Amino acid sequence: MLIPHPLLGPRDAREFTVMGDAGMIDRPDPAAPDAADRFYEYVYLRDNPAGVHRELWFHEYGDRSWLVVTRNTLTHEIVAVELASDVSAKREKSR
Amino acid sequence: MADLEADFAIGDKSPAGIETGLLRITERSDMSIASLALRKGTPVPQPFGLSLPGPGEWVSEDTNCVLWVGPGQWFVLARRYADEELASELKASFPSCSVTEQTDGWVVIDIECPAGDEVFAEMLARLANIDPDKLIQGRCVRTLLHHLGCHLVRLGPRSLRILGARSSAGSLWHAIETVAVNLDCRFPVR
Amino acid sequence: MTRLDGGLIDRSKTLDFSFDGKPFRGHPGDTLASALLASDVRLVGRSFKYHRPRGVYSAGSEEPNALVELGAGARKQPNSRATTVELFAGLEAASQNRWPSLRFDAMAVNDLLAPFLTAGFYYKTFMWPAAFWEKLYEPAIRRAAGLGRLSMLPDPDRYEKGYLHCDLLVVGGGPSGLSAALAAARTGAKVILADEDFRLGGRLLAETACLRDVGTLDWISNLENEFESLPNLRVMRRTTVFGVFDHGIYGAVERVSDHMPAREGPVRQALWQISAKQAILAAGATERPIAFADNDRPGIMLGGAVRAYANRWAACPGKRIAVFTNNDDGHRTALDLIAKGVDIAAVVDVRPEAAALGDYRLVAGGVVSGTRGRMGLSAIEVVSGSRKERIECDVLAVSGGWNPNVHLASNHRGRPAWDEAVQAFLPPLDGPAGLTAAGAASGRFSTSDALLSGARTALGALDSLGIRAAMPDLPDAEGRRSVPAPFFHVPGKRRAWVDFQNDVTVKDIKLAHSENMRSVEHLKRYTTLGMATDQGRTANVTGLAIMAELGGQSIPETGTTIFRPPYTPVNLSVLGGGDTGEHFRPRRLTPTHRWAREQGAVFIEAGQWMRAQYFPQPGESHWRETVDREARAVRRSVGICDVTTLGKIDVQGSDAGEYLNRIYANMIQTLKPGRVRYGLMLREDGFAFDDGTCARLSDDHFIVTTTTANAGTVYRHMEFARQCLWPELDVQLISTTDAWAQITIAGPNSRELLTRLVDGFDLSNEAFPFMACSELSVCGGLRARLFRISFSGELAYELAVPARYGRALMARLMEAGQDLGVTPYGTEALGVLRIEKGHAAGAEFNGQTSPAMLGMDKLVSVKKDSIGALMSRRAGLADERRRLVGLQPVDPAASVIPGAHLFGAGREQTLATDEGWITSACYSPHVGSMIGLGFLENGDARLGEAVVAANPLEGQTVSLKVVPIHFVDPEGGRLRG
Repeated sequence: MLIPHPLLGPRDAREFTVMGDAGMIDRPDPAAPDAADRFYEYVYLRDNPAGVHRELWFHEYGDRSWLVVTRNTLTHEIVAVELASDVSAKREKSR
Repeated sequence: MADLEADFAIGDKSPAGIETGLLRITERSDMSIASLALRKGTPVPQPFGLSLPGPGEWVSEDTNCVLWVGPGQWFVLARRYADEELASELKASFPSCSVTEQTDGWVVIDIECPAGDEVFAEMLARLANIDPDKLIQGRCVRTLLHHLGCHLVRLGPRSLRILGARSSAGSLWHAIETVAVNLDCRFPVR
Repeated sequence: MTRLDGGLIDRSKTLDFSFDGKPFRGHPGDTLASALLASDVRLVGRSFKYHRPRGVYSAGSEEPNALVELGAGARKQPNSRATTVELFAGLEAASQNRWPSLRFDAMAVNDLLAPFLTAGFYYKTFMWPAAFWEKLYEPAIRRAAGLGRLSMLPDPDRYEKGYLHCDLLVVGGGPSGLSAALAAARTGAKVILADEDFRLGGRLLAETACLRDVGTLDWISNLENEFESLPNLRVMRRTTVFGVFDHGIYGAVERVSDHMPAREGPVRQALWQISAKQAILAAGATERPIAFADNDRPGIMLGGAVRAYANRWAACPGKRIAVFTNNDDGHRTALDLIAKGVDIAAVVDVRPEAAALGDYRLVAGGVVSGTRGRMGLSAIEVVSGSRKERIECDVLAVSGGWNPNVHLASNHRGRPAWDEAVQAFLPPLDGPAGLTAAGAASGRFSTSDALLSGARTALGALDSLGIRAAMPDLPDAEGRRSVPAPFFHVPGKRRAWVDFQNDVTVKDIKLAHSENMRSVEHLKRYTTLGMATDQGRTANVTGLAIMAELGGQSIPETGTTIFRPPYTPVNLSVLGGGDTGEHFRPRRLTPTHRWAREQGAVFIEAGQWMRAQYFPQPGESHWRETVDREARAVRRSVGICDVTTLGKIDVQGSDAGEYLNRIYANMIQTLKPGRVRYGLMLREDGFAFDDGTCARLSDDHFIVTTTTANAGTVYRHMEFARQCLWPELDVQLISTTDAWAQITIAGPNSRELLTRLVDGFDLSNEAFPFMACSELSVCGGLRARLFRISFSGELAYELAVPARYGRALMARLMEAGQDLGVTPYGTEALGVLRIEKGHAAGAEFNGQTSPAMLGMDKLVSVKKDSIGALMSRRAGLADERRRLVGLQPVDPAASVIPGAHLFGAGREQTLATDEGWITSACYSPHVGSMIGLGFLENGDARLGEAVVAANPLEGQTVSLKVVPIHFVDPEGGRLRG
């Protein structure tokens, strides 16, 4: 596979380590009243769609960026790629 | 100065070097390396007066160069003996940056390929999955080279610099040497 | 010798080779098959199951029969297709799957047992008892049915691997591939043309009169000259593109020197990973047979192959040739052979309306109903209407139409689609993105159509990349479009082969159908149709057609199977890419590796690292003797050990303290510069992840250490936290593991030894207490870092110097500490010392242990949030009652075995009564017996109690006493002294 890195262009997937669901970016607030339930969902409940999926990929043997890769798990087509830090920063702003 | 004898990453009594029919491969022992990372909201430094290069690029001034290694992070390479503490000098010049000594973390290997562009491309094809048309002069890349994470720096049209982890320098040298030998077999010098 | 005139062989040179030990001769340009046929060798192998005599069947990589062993000794290569083996002087080939000889094969008795050996035979017969399968049935079946044998010796050849990048990859060098490459390469685009043959041209080389206004060879040779002049075009002969992978990645094997007599020097084969923006499948087509009774005798061949041997190789497989066809192509074979002066016995055409195209006998509306000849064809039986006759011939050329080579196009699960107009499966419309078929592979069978479609497809592919190309001038070519009659097999009672390589007959397909194996995928697995190394290239479509007929369905209704990589078999050795032995994977060496080697150290692999395991001294006869000595030396005086492999991560930034507070479960923010703290990392699910030390060099600069095993994963985790969880924090990370040689100096005399190396640094307990750290200089000005931390429980330091000085530092420590009896120790003694001190390590941090189990629940700070803190307090983890304890055998001579499970003394030993397990154990020279660490139910409340360690695997049961985890210095006076 080739991962189109937003800064570096298409790169061999072997340079990356995949971690799965990009929902891992959204760590719950540990001070929230329902934090225990939210963390339970965060840690254990993941979607595993046959189709478009947002995933976290780490460019371990490249520039060490974490990327959010939107990938179709049926066709391996990659629809979008963003720097995870950008995705995370946008979320911070919208809070 | 310390009264201990320093080792070379590959060579025994002197830096390693081999010359095959097509390539000249040299272990560099005269490079100091430090990493430089930007902190939030601090002025952008200009080591050796150089503007920090963008993703996948490197710049140089005389024998010093700066290469992009990741978002907000660069390697500064200076040609001088490693005991001269490049990191502490950089930290003194740019106190608001994060600077880390890296000289001993890496082995620096330069490859000269006087035989021409075609052979250079053949060599690169056997080292890493990098399109030679994208790794043109002024570009650098960190990638896998025979399972080893390495920085590849296109020094010139027919020269390549490889920075590999010091602990696996022997495996890296073996990989490069094997490629050189195989190239000689495939493209006999006429 | 039966050589015809002409052909693309160099008669000026002769190549000597051998087959089954007998000498033969051929010429450059020959394949092993063509040279054997030209030498009148018809019998070349025995079939897989029935051991039937078999001959060369095809002229290409689809060959199901002529599988031979090449070479000798370690270079023996079984299952090589004689039809693709390029002849060279000294080639040694041998037939396989026969004993004692090819002509007399004892296992041919299987053929007489054929009524019992039908489809599903193995499944039905060898079911009971199940235990017999592995020990008895399978080995016996494998011996009886089989292909070639491996040499069982290490492969002496060299291999290489590499990566290529192009705009357009053209797979196949026949007419469509050549015109595609020409059109594309003229634009300056980067083009790769790969062809499995050693000579470009594909079918053009095997046919006559394809091109009208120019000689075929002239056209190809002009093209090759132009190709040579284009630096943007890479022509790869002898290269098989074997698979299509995601995102335009193609796997290819180049046979670099398989065709050379001596392989010293160049690599044997190269594995290429080609990244192509666009690709054209110009892989041509494979002729399909017609099945009829006893259609597998040597001498029965594909029609196009007979033509190819005559035209390209000037080799005539027989003296009197008959043709059996359902389309015009069979007549073409007859015409070409007549032109070469070969005797044509008859052309049998299933089509009643067929007309002769030349001067030969035609049996229109006829079929071949049977054959004769034990070791090779001698006659055929022909039925037309009510008339039955016997025709003497030694070769039968069978033409059943052509199957486009759609294989690569269905590598991504797309199913080939049946096209009624051309009576063939065409590449699927939902094939791999960027791959388009052209020429015969797309069902365009005439030369004219192939040339045009190749160039046009190239234009289209480049257009999608924004590259404009012009249509090249193409030669005027033949444009015959011959559609075969839908005729796949001759009905009859006797066995008619469909899959030659796996010995599957029409009968087997019928049986499978009658036993309700009605999906194509079931049929395939039940009969093994198409499951041999040729993936049924000459068998599948015929098999499907017969199945469709049985089910009263059309072929598209019946469906088809798909193809996986590799297109043709690929050697495992080339997939390995040439790295074997100690180079199989990269090795990481510590800075003191050379020194340790000189000391005679025994090394152990720890991940990629090679670490000194122990340092045997003269006179020591057992590793335990060595390890005991090393451990004792540390407790009595001083030992030194290279701990460079521990991960080191440099953490800087104005928020570094806050960041580490969130990474570690315990409090880090309060750590003062110049101090070190033990750090526990949890996973977000609350389980223990890794541990190490965290040293604060200044307010905004920390050094984190990780375990050797988790160095990579901890770094990844920390980058995840930095980039994904808290991008607002000002933190910068970089690994410095390789940059520093880190040496542990441990033991009561460690301070004394270190004092001799530091440059005026105050090491007194007041100035540099336990858990202090500092930058300093040693050995006359060498920058260094010193940490007063202890893994052994003794007074200890870790000294870090730039990696290139590691070896010299080690030597200096040995020299300076000679009078103290300084002793180097390896990972074994390191392990003994830490177990004696009760430090948890990898065996305790196994991903299933909570902080409470490790006795570290108090470490998890409640004053702050950190990764895993919240989940570590949830029910289940908080209620967990197993605790880490020390274990000592009641009988000091008894063994303590890690992995043994713990039970209450005198209690039943079942899963329900299981109370824990032993994680680590060693012989402790300090205690004088073996000792262990383990997790035990309520362990912290059971000190002094006796428990039983059960090791049912080895039938051992040992009585152990539960003791505190600290076997040495429980008060910690030594490390603080």
